[in-house]
Amino acid sequence: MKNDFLENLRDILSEEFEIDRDAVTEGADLYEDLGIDSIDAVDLIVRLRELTGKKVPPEQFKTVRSVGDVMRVIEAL
Amino acid sequence: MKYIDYSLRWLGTAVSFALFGLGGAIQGLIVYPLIRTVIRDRERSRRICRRWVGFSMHLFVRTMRTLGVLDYEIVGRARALEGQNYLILANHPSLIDVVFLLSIFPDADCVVKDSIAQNPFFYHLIRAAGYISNSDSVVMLDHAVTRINQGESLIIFPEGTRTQSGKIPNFNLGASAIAVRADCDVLPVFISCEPTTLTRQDRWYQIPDAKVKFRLAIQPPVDIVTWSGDNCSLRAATRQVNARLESYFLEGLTQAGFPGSDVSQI
Repeated sequence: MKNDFLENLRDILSEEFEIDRDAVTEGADLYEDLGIDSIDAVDLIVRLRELTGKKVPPEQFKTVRSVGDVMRVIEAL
Repeated sequence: MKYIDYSLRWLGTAVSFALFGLGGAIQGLIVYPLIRTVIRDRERSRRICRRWVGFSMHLFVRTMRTLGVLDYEIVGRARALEGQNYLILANHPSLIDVVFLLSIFPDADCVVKDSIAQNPFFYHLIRAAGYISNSDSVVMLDHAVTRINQGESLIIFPEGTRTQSGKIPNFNLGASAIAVRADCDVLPVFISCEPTTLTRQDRWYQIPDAKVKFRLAIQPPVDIVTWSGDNCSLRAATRQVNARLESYFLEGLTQAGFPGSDVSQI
């Protein structure tokens, strides 16, 4: 399940933001390592909602730094 | 004679600031909490508060005109009454711009600087009217898109701060990002004030040598879908719309002969 989700995240990040799939690891920092900016983050939230059917409150996304954080936030929903 | 004129306008400015501060404080402490207590429905109370803000701002600019502090002209006001949801974008020469815009668009939402949202004079007003703070850009963008999708208009100064005179408008990507994602029309507003007043460099008591004349020209709505071209990615579309918006404002302000906005003269 966890690996599935990481794969999904790789799909989204590579399709939407042209990020190298291999760079997307649990420890990778979205902003520092993957070059996501705040506008991308909003699009990511939208794509995550499409994927999971649940909306990540943007307030919660404030604490998200790494790919692992995204997974934890989604799991906690 | 010149000194009398200057002194009177200085006095008028001081009175205006006092009225604004006092009015803001009284409304913040009494009117808005009252509205929020009486009207339980959050959406309704927000709408009413925003109407009240718009009315207060209207009263305030009328007062400043009566006091001889400034004069103003608003062109294309009918476009504000169409009631469609727009992303309202304006250049930002002066501190008072937002006062004009809120008086013209009383139903609109507004993105406000976080420092202002935390200011004790405005804190209650901004919370009661539900204006969006820019403290966290992810939250701000998400809220902005949601509100427009719900059918509200939203006012943003895409420069994020007051225009420095002589600088070519440099828009943050945020406004374009909202426009592209909310898929709404943009309503551009050109603002000029001559001579410049209450810029980022000015203190309130530094008033200009002549009476200030504001001009606000509401432009026809722009369907930005035609601007983003065939870009399939939101990222590319946002950047393209932003570049087009910057040149639209630059050309428009210059062509309209807005004094102080013609960067080629500076």
